[in-house]
Amino acid sequence: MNSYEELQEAFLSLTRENDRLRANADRANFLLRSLDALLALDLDDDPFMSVFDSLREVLPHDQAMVLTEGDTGDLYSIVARPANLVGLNFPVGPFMSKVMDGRVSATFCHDDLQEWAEVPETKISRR
Amino acid sequence: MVSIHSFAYSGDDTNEVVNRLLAETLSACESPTFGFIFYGCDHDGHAIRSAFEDALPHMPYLGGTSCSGVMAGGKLWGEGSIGSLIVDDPAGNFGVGCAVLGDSPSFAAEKALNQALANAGCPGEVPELIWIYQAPGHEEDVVAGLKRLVGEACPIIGGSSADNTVEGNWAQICPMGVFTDAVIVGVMFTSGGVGFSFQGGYEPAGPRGIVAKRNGREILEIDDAPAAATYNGWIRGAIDKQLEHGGVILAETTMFPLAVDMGDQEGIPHYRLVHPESITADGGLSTFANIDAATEIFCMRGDRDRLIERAGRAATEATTKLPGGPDSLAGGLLVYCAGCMMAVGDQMPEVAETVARSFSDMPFLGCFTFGEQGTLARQNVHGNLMISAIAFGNGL
Repeated sequence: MNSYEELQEAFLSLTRENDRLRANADRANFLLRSLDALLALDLDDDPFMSVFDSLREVLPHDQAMVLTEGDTGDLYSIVARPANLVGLNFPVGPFMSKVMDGRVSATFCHDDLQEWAEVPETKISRR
Repeated sequence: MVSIHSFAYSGDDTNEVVNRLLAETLSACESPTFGFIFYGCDHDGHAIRSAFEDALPHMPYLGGTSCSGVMAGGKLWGEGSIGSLIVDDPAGNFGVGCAVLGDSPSFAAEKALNQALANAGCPGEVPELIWIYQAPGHEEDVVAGLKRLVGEACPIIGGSSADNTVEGNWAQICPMGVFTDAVIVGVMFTSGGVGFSFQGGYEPAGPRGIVAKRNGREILEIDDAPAAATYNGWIRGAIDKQLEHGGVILAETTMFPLAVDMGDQEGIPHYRLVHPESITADGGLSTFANIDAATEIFCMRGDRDRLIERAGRAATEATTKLPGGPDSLAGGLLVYCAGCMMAVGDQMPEVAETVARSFSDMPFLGCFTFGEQGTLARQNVHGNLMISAIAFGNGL
């Protein structure tokens, strides 16, 4: 090391590697905690509530739903928190298609999402 | 799978250069999905746009003029060059929007972003990365407008279009037109992931002070004394000549820019650099980026070697940050400050070589700008004399 610049670069490189390892460790711990929670379930417990609890640690949220594909091709909410979201249905438009193909998606506005057009605003915020 | 292709050619005849570039693009790219296009300001942007519209009518693209042309393939292509970086990613979503900056650059930026998302088929979604190219002068407002919609979570990266002589001969290009006073916004949802970096190659020289009074991009007073005289003292009289009658000080100050501390990460401070452009009639310092009143500013120092190495380091950092790791690199894009380019001068070929090496000799394109935007200490900001890099992952 013969300069402040090189020293700083070496330190940054180690910091980046440390960040990467820390993120991997966080992810592994999250999975382990989720697995623990599922293994600790009683027969009468709803496993999805435990999944929602685990998710909240990494993804703060007010509402969460599990959607499943119905006979008509639409998606139906079968488990939700809060429970009054159960039964909502969503058409499969471009947004849901991408999610069903495996993309993780975040939105800042639902105004132009055709999947949200029929959802009552009193139940799910449009923004 | 994602593949990246870069092409560059040089010549006086715009049609000849762009047709050559497009012929190679069409033969090499299976499904051109998104494009970056940069060119020397003497070329006819309308002819370039027209050729791209004819050859690739469905491909969104953005870019504009770049000071003294482009770099690609480990070399500089000169003032008469046109370069393109083509992203071949049929599983991704990409879109471009544009708006004239007008009276409200921040609302123009919002409008352009919404248009880009709609064109990408992703209305209301937070993209993986926003890439912007714009006319110089209102970058902070543009970034603020974009942040109003997507916050700090989405990286906003890009540059300010440049000419060869700071005379205003810059332009921005996209499928909607060629502009001189617009912001072009590109949104990317890649299937291979991206890594990015935003760095400056300078360190604090020692002197520091507080901006006591300012007006827009003019610093009037530092520590309650006239700004230009105070700064001249910090840099040991390097702008003595201009201090008396005012004038442009770009060349004299490139190695001694001002900077704002943006906070540190793991104990390492991150500085947003600001390039003093001229001395005003009332003894103020006109700059290429805003500094708020009551902000502490630092006098920085740099040298040629550091500006050369820093370009490679930015490319390396972007590559390291790819979700699939450095081995997944498909190609890259580099924005290098035109001020740094002028300071590095005849050693610029070394910059092109070091960037090519740092991108593992994968295809890349570099442009030279009058302002750079990127993410510093987890904030999207506009700065000067900075280097930003994006690495594209191959998705394998």
